Amino acid sequence: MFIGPCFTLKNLGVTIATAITALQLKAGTNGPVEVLRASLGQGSTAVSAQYAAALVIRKTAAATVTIAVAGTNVLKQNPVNPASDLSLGTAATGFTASAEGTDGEETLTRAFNDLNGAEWLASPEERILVPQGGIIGMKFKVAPQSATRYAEYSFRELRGG
Amino acid sequence: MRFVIKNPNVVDPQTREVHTGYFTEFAITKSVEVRLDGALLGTEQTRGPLFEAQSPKWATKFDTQADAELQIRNEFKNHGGPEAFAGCVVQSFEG
Repeated sequence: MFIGPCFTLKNLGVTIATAITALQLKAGTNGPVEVLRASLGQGSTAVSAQYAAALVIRKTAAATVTIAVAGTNVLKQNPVNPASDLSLGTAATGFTASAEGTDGEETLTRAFNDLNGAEWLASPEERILVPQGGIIGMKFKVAPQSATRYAEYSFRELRGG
Repeated sequence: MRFVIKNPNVVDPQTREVHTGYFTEFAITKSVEVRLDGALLGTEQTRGPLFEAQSPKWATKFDTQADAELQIRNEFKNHGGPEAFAGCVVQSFEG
């Protein structure tokens, strides 16, 4: 098994009430990324509602997002790791889309109740690879009720020195 | 091509020597408890940028020059504001 540094990308809680891309990841150029875990929950409503979300959807054109901040939205699993190789940007790694870009293959979809949220932990064989420069997103399939929503990816960077 | 943020004026906290560093991430510099009538409501954190990479290879990469410039403008006051990136420049990086 390849050993590489692990990181998380999170939106830190954003009010979402539309079917937008909540989180977007653009892999760097030094190696692919494998997605280890994806989660989507909320922390502000006690109203039951049933939804489906694409936890991993490939993007052929990036959504326009709020740029992620290293150390705030992109966090190291191990503090002594080097910085993540992700490309940060408003058409790259970030959160809360204001324009959707172009969706590609919908790799992973989960239905869930809003009171529980969705959590996907990949078995080793299931880990979804994002090639160098590739883009994935996490997106509601229909507009959800308004709530403070927490979206997160855990991933490993398969990179050389 | 991607872009990194270069700071030519990083001061070593122990030797006081000045060297070049590249932006890696923000770190929490201050954490203050927020209380109302004695009850803890939460904590308010202040962050500051770190320029720990000695090579662009190990720095945080930005997709475009405009994205790196947006970070240098650092519009979030609780992240130190633009003065936290005083003297920094954007540098292109192949890789």
